[in-house]
Amino acid sequence: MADRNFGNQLKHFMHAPTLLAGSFVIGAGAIGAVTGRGFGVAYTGAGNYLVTATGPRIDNYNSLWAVKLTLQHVAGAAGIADRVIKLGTVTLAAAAGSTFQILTHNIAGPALNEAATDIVHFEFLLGNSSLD
Amino acid sequence: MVARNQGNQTKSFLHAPVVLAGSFTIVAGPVMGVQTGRGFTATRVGVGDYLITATDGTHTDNYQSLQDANVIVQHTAGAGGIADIIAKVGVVNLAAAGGATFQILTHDLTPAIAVAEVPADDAVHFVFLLGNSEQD
Repeated sequence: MADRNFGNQLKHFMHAPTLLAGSFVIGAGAIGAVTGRGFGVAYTGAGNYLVTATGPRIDNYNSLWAVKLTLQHVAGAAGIADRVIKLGTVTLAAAAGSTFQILTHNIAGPALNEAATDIVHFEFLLGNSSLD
Repeated sequence: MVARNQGNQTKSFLHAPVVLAGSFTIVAGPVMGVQTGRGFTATRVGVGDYLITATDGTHTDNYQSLQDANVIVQHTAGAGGIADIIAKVGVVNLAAAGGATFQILTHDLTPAIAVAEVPADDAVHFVFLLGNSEQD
């Protein structure tokens, strides 16, 4: 634990938004270790992943305010690939919880594509107030 | 709405920084489409060239510092027909007279890197973490 007084809070234009953040390892045609809370993640195909806001409750958010996505190349500098990450389809009102599709694709092509052992990091800043 | 008590607040090393976040779509024309978020106005300057201005028509905001910036393209159609376009932050002018400005550029990856329009109906998402204290 960081031994500091983190007294400064982030300010927002929104009413008490929720940060849904986490990461998952891309396995060989599967999802590996998952870090984070408030979501589940499913492998739906090469370079195609679905984050669902459930676990164990089913959460539906009102609005999506901000997105951050990063692909981590765990091997370090060696063998880095020409791959980028994008947000796909978002369905906030899905029956089983809000869903966020994450896509990774290679640059030359482009075609959906993935590298086993790499990690996807994500942050979604979500509106959870009827005032927003 | 999510039925949880999400009472935990996000803390920071900065003095009460501000999150300026939102998204906009580009639609056929191409012209600016739907904008989501508050505290800014987004305009299309040219091909793949967009400007976020920290004004909502009532307030004109100038921030002290830019601590973090993230921009990303959303391919709203899902897995099919994805384009080789990414987003980058361009020129930032925190002291602009009409409110702090943040240029966002989208460009092609292949075969030649050139500024290119976001495909119609796709979206650009941005997050700027801004210092708003003279102590930062």
